[in-house]
Amino acid sequence: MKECLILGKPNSGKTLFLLNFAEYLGYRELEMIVEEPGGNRHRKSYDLAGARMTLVSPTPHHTRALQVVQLKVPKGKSRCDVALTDTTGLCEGIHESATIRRSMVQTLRRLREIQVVLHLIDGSRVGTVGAPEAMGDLDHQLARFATGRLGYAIIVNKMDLPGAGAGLASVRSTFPYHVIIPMSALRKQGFREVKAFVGRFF
Amino acid sequence: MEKKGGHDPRPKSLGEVLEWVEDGKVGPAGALVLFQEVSQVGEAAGRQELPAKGQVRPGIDESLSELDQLIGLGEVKELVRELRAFVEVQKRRARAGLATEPLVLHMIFKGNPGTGKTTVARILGRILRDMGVLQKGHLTEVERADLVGEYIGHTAQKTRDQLKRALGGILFIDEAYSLARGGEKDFGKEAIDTLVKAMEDHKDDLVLILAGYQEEMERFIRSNPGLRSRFPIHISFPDYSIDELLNIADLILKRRQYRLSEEARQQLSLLLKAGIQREPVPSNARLVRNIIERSIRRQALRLLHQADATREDLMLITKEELEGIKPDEGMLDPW
Repeated sequence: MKECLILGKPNSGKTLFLLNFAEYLGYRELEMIVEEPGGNRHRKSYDLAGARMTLVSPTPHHTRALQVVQLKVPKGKSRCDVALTDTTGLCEGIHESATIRRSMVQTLRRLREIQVVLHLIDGSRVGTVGAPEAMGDLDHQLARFATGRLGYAIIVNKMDLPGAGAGLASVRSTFPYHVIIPMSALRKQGFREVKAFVGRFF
Repeated sequence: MEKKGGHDPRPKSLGEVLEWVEDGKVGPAGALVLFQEVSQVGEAAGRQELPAKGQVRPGIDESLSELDQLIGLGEVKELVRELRAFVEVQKRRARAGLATEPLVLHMIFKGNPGTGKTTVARILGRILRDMGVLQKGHLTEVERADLVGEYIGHTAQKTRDQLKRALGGILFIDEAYSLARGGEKDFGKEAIDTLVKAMEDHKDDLVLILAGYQEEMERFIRSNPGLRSRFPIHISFPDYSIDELLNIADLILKRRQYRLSEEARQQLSLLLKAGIQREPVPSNARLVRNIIERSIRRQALRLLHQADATREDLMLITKEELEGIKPDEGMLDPW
């Protein structure tokens, strides 16, 4: 089973993307494998509405473990198996909480083993100086790390919010050579392009 | 990034970088920078830790040297070297964020029998696999009868079945021109159409090689104008010279742990000259192999009742063995 990692800053919309993308593919219920940083793994079943209530939150670092969902993604006339993995957000600088640092280590470790990465950026906050979601060093390093090694796309999320258009333009000019997909996880816009991108690598 | 500056010595392994993050010595962005530094130091180790499609496997030198060992075939060897360089540079370009060219590798092999077309295709499959271009690199060898069916609709099905077997490797169609014989109503045309479609659909995981005699292949390509542009690589396999054939003989014998006496070698050279003149189409390496195999059997016959044969005797093929062989008869019927 090949794995696709959803990466990005805290609060860039990774978990909501995972859930809504699964719903877009026709899933109503999810079997999720939660891998905790300590090494414990357990399985959880959610219906999508419940999952959104429990797993998605406007406070950053709500997700602190790897959440793996196995999906069948249509590819041409057939379907391919993809493990889509939601991760702990990676922040700029050093986080003061040891628990969260441990979760981020888990994400980084997984990044080294992975074939395909979707890098989410909050489009509405790209240029907001001082905001933790603003595009920064981490995003640059992630792009540099992934180029040439992995299937890698930058996904500009939250395109439904005001200011996201300018954010998208700014991301495009910063990363002129990368695949960039505008998307709104909330409105399920741009999912067709994401699906096509993922399908190419599996 | 500035956070990593104060900490010396630098981390030596990827695991150590992760410890630093956990201890709060460095943030995630800094860790990504260190990942790259560490994997550049231990390039080989880094490669193994990041297996991805398009990765060069260690076996590639072995496959390349196998190709280099083949006698003659300068054109092929040069092409493979070009391809290797091309793939490597495309990868570096991707790393530098530059546009990359897709690799279209469908080929046409033109040459008489026994000039090494199948052998080269087989080695090429392995090389492409080792370069990370093909996933499996196996060779699926088919001919007209495997592709063309008996009734309407049957051909597309049969051809698709063969294509499916070949995915991830090379589909090698021997005497491909026979697909175009029989004119408009022949089902061969349907097979060609199916192949052409598959070439486009499976650009990334299939290499199609059409092989056959020089003249027939050229006529075949002329008769289907679309084919020339779809097969960017044309390779001619020239007939071997007598010297090259003798080298091939040495190679075959060495592999089987036999050797020729000096007189036998001269006799073989005469035989080959006579054989080449007499054959309507030269069969090249196959002619050599057949002669050698025949002489090995004749040597066995000579030694059968010679109980005191030494190790040396058991290896040596003398003039005697080669004298009775006529190059153009007895090849199909060994005795």
